[in-house]
Amino acid sequence: MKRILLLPLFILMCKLVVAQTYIIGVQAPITGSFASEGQGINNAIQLLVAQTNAAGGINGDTFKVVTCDDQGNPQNAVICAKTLVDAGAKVVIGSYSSTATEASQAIYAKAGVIQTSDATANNLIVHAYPTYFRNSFNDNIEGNFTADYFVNIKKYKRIVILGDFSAFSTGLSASVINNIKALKGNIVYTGKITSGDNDFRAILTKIKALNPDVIYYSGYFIEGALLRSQEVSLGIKADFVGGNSNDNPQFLKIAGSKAKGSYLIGLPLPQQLDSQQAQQFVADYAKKYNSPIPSIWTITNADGLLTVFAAMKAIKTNDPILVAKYIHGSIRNMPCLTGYMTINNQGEREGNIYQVSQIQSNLKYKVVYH
Amino acid sequence: MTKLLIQNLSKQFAALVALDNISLELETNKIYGLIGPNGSGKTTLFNCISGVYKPSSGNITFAHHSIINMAPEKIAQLGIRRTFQTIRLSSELTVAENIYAGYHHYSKHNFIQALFNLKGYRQDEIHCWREVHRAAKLLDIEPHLRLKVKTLAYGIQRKVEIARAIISQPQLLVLDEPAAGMNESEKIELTHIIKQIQLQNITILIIEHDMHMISTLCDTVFVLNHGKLIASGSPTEILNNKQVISAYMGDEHA
Amino acid sequence: MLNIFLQQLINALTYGSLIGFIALGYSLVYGILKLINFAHGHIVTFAIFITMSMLTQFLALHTLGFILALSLALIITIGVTIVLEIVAYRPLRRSNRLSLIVSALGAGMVIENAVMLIWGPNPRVFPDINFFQGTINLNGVVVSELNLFILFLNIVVMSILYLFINKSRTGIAIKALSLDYQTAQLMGVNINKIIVLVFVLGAILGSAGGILIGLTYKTISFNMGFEYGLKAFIAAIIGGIGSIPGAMLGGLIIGILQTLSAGYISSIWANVITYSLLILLLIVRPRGLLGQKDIEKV
Ligand SMILES: Nc1ncnc2c1ncn2[C@@H]1O[C@H](COP(=O)(O)OP(=O)(O)OP(=O)(O)O)[C@@H](O)[C@H]1O
Ligand SMILES: [Mg+2]
Repeated sequence: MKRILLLPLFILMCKLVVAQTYIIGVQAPITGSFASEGQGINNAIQLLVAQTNAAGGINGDTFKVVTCDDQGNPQNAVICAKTLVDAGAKVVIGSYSSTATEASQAIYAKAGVIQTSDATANNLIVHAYPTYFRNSFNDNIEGNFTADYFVNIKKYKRIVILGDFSAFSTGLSASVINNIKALKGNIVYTGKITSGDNDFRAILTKIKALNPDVIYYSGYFIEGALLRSQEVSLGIKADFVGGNSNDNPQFLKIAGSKAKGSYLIGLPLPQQLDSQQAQQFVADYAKKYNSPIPSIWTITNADGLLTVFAAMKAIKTNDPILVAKYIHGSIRNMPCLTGYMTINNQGEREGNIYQVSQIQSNLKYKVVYH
Repeated sequence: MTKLLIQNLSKQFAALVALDNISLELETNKIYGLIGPNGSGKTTLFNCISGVYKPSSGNITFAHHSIINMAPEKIAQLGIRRTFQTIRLSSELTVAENIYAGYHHYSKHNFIQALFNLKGYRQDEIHCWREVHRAAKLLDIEPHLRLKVKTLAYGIQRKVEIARAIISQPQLLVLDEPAAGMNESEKIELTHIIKQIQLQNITILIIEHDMHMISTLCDTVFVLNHGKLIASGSPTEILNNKQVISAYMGDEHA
Repeated sequence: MLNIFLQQLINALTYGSLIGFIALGYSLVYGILKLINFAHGHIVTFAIFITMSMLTQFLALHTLGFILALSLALIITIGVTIVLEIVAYRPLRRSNRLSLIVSALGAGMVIENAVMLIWGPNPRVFPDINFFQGTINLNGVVVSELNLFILFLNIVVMSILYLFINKSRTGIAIKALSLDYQTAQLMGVNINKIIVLVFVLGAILGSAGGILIGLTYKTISFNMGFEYGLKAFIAAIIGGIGSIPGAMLGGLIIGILQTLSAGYISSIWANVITYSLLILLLIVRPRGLLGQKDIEKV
């Protein structure tokens, strides 16, 4: 009796397996120093996929997310790329950092898997992989914006540029430096710190002697916050300006009250996005995960997936090669969570939504320039 | 009165029988000798008494406690102290510190007193350092107390070891070849010192190859050969015992 | 110019003494057991995290809460250390050196993972306390109160440790018998007690260093024990492993080399310069600055 009952169930199960589920990979730092970012990306993709499936999927397919934790380092990025390709992923969102993204690019490109990442290093586009596209803006756009703000708006006379050794920070520093030089700005010092170190008082003391009026840091939020708080402790009066990866709630927690007055150049914060669609997404996220979106990078990655979905709908097929081909060049001014999406033939996102915020004495961000 | 009682004691290392069914008895305040050819099991017997080795069978009773299953530090705290065939001192430390370490378990103070250097702790300190001086005086090494052990002559180091062993006023002192490496005048002095120690109500068991020293010091001598106790008696009896002579002769011929 | 130099010196000394505190734990344990306790860095991490939790629990109580939180955290850390000694080291005390090292490494991984499972993989922020927040400005040389406290604590701890090891009854026993457990036992010393005591002392010093690191740098993560452990281990080796003042000296030297090379030569090359100099030093003096001559190979 029991067996007879089980039989239809078994058939049903087989059917489920056979029925096409389209796998979307997430390669992100779920653990490690960037864990909050990685988890944000993963959460956002899970949310979008659930919403899309609930609306009936696209072109007959429903979607399923497979996540791989690359811890933000290139070794694990390679392992993740292979794992996700083997798992049958057709689209991969990630990774968060330029280093991890760069390490995985070739594997996805070879397997014909669409990859989209928020990573901003210029060199992610040099290979012009036909399946890769960027969902944020490259360093040069940020470098240009930063240099203009320093030299023409703030009229800084003695500029210090710091970064870490990551591909992302190195690229961003270089682009800021080049743009400042082009505007004839005066850089008095450029240096690097090692990410993972905690004590930067030596280099800051050296900088103090140079009497700078701004210290710019192109690396990530943990070291950024430590630099800022040690700068204040050492009695250095220069402004502190962090590049886009200092945008993280941890910056405020680590630097505490010493964060006051520091600047952040980046994309708008999630809560600053003004479109209806964006606010809805922020609310949905908060409702599902009971915590706010960690940073704008969560949303640009969501935009990456939305771009893929839009392309699928436009050409009425989910074939990754065709979808990628469409994205490169045919997505123009598409409304998305972070404004408008335009992808050029190289897979580069065009446009610019950069802004400068300053941390107020109530430890809230206030946009001071855009 | 019986101080130490050894009954049917055997110790085996894999196939090698190092001690074979040994029974003997030590009485209070006497000096005993333990002799025998090289490898006959003398040090092994000392190791069983002091708890380094657990015997394969048999029993050892000390002051009415069976000690064969006791941890070495418990046996030492019970009142059995020893020296070693090869010197085991901390050569970087001073003579005084080495001797002092032998009295570590002496403690009438509590943790709080130690932490804040209170009266109880200080009294213990004073007592222990007084004992260090007493032991050093007995061994005639007082002038060396502040010197590092590694700077001292071998004969003096041997005496430091004995001082460390007697500082806790043990009931049984076990000396493993204390005169090894000493010259004649040092041996005479040591003989004298060991007699002084006996006067402190300490039973002494001594391994020594110097028969002259053994005859001058010991009330009773035990002879081991291939792990067996082949004879025991007064020094004169032992020196005339045929079995003992042949054991030594055989050993020399081998 | 002088001001800058003095500032760098203060930077170096405060950073160096944090490393030194952790290094003391390695050196103490090595001095007695000839064991490099590779789990030490992870015990330090554990201490930091448990202190963080306790502080968040009790911080509302201000100074009293701080003391309560610290004491509880320390007691728990000591408990973990004792368990570690009994479970991971004691059974192997008589076996060869290599199995002990493997056991230490394994124990370290267990603790690291436990910290990750309890407190999660994300970096956490150490809570603010409501004292030691100010800074003192002496003619352009800035010292934070916390830094002053670290330097002060350094001197106090070193003095207490010096007195303990050289003057106390247990300290002398530790030294006199550190070369040889068996002789120690035969002299009536309960070596289990002494060994546990040494581990506990090491853990307390490490925890002190760890908590100060938490207070100074705020950001903590479950895997920080590796990096700090490694630096402290190098400090212990440089100072001469087994030597108490050596461990602190080693920490200070690392602090000074890193700070001065970052401050005066190049921040990019600071690590390379520091560690090359240290390798050079070990080539010239393999036993470290204050190490004993008869150092064993491990
Ligand atoms: N731990 C051990 N493992 C194996 N064999 C041992 C051990 N200790 C001693 N032996 C063996 O037991 C026998 C007795 O050794 P022991 O050291 O007791 O002799 P001894 O009488 O003290 O000699 P000596 O006069 O040379 O000191 C020897 O054959 C020795 O090799
Ligand atoms: Mg012997």
